[in-house]
Amino acid sequence: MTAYDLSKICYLIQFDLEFRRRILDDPQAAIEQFQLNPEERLAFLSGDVGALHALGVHPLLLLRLQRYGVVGLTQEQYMNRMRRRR
Amino acid sequence: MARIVAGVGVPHTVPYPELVRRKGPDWEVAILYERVAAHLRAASPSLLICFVCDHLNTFFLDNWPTFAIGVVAQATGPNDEVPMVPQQAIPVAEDRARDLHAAVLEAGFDLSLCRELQVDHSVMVPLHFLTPDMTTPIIPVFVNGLVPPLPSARRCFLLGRAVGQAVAAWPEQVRVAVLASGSFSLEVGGPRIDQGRLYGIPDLAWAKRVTRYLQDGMIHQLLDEATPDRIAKAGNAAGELLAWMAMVGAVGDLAPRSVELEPGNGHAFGTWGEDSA
Repeated sequence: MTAYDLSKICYLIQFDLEFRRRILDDPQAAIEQFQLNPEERLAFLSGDVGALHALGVHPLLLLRLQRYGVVGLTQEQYMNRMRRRR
Repeated sequence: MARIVAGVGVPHTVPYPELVRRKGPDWEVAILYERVAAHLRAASPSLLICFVCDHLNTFFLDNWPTFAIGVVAQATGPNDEVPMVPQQAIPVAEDRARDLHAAVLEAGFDLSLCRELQVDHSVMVPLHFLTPDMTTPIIPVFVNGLVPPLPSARRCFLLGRAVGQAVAAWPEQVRVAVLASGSFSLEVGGPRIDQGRLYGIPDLAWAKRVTRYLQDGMIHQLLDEATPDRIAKAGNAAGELLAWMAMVGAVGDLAPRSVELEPGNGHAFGTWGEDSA
C-alpha cells in the first residue's frame, strides 16, 4: 500500500502517547524506525500535508499532525497547504 | 418474534454536542436531533443496531475491514476526542450480536469479528443525542465508507436487508431500532476543505438529491446513482451514505417519516417507522 509507513506514523501519534511525546520532541529521530523514501521523509518533516495527501496518506490521518502540532504544523498552515492541491 | 420498529439517521459532527450545549435547545440542530430522539423514544426499542463508518480510530490500515461487527459485552468510546462526550462504556447485546454475525454469514455477508471494541464519534455523537442515558444495548456494525475502495451502495443495502431478515427470525420478543450515522457530502481535511475551515461540503446538490430520494422512498434509484465515482465527487467522507444504505435495507418495509437536510450542510436527519406508530 502506498505511504503505509507515513500512515502508521500519523496513526501512532494519536494512539501511542509515548510515540507522540518522542515525535514532538525530535521528529527526525522518531521517524528513523520507519521505511520512508526521501520524498516522503522531506514531505513529512516539512509538514507539507498537501504533498503527503498526494503521496497517499488519508486526510483523516493527516489531520492528527495539526491537532498535536507535529513538526510545528498549525491549523492555518494545514488548511493552506491542503487547499493548494485543489 | 423480534421486530424492527424504527429506523433513524443522523450526522455525527464532532463539535455538535458542545455547540448544542452552548446554543441551547432552540438551535436548529438541537431541534433536529430532538425530533429523531422523540421518534426513537416513541418506538421504545430494547436494542439499537448501529451502522457506522469508522474514521481510522477503531481500525487501522494494517487490518481494515469492509464490514465488521462487535461481539462484545461492552464497547468503550469515544476513542477520539469529542468535547462534552466523556469516554465511557456502552452495553452491547453480545448474544444477539453473535447470532447476527452467524446469520448474515450464512446469508453471504462475511463480517470481520471484533471481540474487543473501542468506538469513535460515529457511534458516540448519535448516542449522546438519541439515547443519552447510554443504557440501551447496541450492536455496532461497521461499513467502510471512508477508505477507498468502498463497497457498493447496493451491497451495503443488501447487507442491511440480511440484518433485517436475521432479526425477524429471532424467536424472542425484542423491539429493535436501527441507526445510521454520517454525511452525504463532506470533505474532511482534504483539498476541498473551505477557506478557514477543516471541512467543506463539495456537493450540496448531491446531498439534497440523496435526501429527496430517501424521503420519497426511491431507494433503487439512489442505489443506481450512488456509484463510487459519484460518492467520491461529494467528498472524502461522502461514503458515509453507505451506512444509511445499510440502515434502509434493514428497516425493510418501514416507511420514511421525515428526512430533512440540515440547511446548508451535507447531512440529514431521518426517521423511518411503522404506519401505526
